[in-house]
Amino acid sequence: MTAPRPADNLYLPHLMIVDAIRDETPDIRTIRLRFCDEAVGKSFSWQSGQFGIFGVFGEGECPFCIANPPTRPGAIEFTFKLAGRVTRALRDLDVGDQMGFRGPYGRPFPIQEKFRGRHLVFIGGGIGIAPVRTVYLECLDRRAEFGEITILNAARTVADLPFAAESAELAARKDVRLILAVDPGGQTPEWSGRVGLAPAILKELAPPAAGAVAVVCGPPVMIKFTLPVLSELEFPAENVYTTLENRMKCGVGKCGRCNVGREYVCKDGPVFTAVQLRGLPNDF
Amino acid sequence: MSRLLPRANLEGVVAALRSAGYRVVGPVRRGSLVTYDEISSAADLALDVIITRDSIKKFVLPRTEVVARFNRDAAGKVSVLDATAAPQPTVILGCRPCDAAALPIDDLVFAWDSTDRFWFSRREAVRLVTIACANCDESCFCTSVGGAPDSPEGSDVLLTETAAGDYEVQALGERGAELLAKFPGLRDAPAADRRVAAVPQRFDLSAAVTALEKNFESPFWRQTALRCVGCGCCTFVCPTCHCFDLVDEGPAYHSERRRNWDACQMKNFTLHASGHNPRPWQEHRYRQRIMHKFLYYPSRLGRTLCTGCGRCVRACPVNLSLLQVVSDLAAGRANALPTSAGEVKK
Repeated sequence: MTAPRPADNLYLPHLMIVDAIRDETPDIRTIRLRFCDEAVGKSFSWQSGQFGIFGVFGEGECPFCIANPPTRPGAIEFTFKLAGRVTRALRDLDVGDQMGFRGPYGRPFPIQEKFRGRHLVFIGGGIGIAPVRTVYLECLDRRAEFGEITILNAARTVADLPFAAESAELAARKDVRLILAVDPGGQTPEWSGRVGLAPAILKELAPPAAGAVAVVCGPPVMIKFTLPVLSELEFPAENVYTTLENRMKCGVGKCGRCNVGREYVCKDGPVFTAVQLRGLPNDF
Repeated sequence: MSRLLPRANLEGVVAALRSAGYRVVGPVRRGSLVTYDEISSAADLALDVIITRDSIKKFVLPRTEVVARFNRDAAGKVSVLDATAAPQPTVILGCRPCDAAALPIDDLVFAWDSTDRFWFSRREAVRLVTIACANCDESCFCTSVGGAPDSPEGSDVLLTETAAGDYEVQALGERGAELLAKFPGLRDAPAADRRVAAVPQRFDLSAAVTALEKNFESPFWRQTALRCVGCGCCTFVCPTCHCFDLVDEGPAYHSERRRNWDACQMKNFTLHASGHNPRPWQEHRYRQRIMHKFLYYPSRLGRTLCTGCGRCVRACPVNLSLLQVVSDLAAGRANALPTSAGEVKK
């Protein structure tokens, strides 16, 4: 396979090699991949917010966002939480093992068009921080183009907060405001971060909405209670972004399962604004 | 004048097509079932039935097909092998207009921004010789969704029965003309009376669509879908239902990625690994099927995802009739229900 894979088989994965494995929490892991075919790897491009379909041969495939932003090329990373058959098989992979990857799919965050010159507020809950992190990593790599950057990373317990080492680096930076939070009961005696649920903490933080864009991702219940808080804080709905997930098979709008009303998460999303969310029927 | 195929010459057509290298399939009787299957003689054809149990979909979108293969060698290295579909040239003789019309509708999704090679390679290999419907039953509703019992849409050759029992022949497009050139025993004849069923219009499609736009949240769905058992057979017999699953099968050292038919009526269809299900109850899944066919697909791809073949109506084990449901919607019966009652909390 030296030529680009045959464009006409939409379901044929790229062959990848596991380059590095990093545990983020007891059940969240990041895997870094490189293309077996270096030429494909060199010509591969994507944008923050796009996803891929990652597969273990003989086990199946799962959609995850591409975790490293295009400002950090040379590999494909993805962060996942142990949940089912494929994620179990992904956890069984060692460095040097091979797996499959298709993508990039979906529409990215409009960083260039809508984020530049603005203050940015990032809110992630649980594994939902993964796609949010991709965006803030890109924005931090292009730091001068944005205003203030606020990151709220909330998880159930201290042990469930992913990206701890990276968070320590972010916390030391003067040009980022990082708030770590855990649910009540999830703290340890040494815990110096916040205790509470993401919507309540966001309300306390009350980041100014003027000239700001918010990016939210987390479990459905967190999104449900966070969007009204952003609205109270007077973030216009068109400046609030989220990224949806749904069960997916093809990733390219054929298999007919990820639609929410008329919108296909794989083609029209996964990135949606709160305005678009409001237009969706209650089917997600 | 028109071109006429005497009924007695059907046998010659089957023989000619087979000797030209085509697999010829048509409606055949299998006990109490009539299904599309390979034939070797026109005598195998069950041309007196209104419609087969299953659609022609299986010849273009098989129930299961390999889309990729993965081999692991002794050293553990994996090779990813492209699965090449080499579809057998096939003529479907005695296809129905409601089946033929389904293919151009599904072409739209399989060509939507990216081309599904498996669909189109089979599509290329299949020729449709459709016989216009001389009869219909109470489940037929092609005329309500823009079709007709003698519609040429999607067909390569259209045969229309004459009063004398012969077939008036119409070639459609280049593919049709090429195929028709292989038909022996055609003759010119004065235009004769055609036997075409009168399929009544059963509902007003645009009224149904308007009702769907207004009634995503309506107790209508619970009332309607309460008896749905979620078997999915409506989707499997449907000529336009195309949703599929991709699964890996076989041992890890020699596995296949397969595309299998799937059904939105089943709970697992949308179940997340986290346990969250966007469509937790049957009413949500039933609503999705109706919405997809009559609202979402037309609004995204421009065509109603239904040809009115009525198979789902006939096949449903609990007599939950899509025809009745869409007729109820068109008649405004969903609008009349109070919208506050009967909401299901997820």
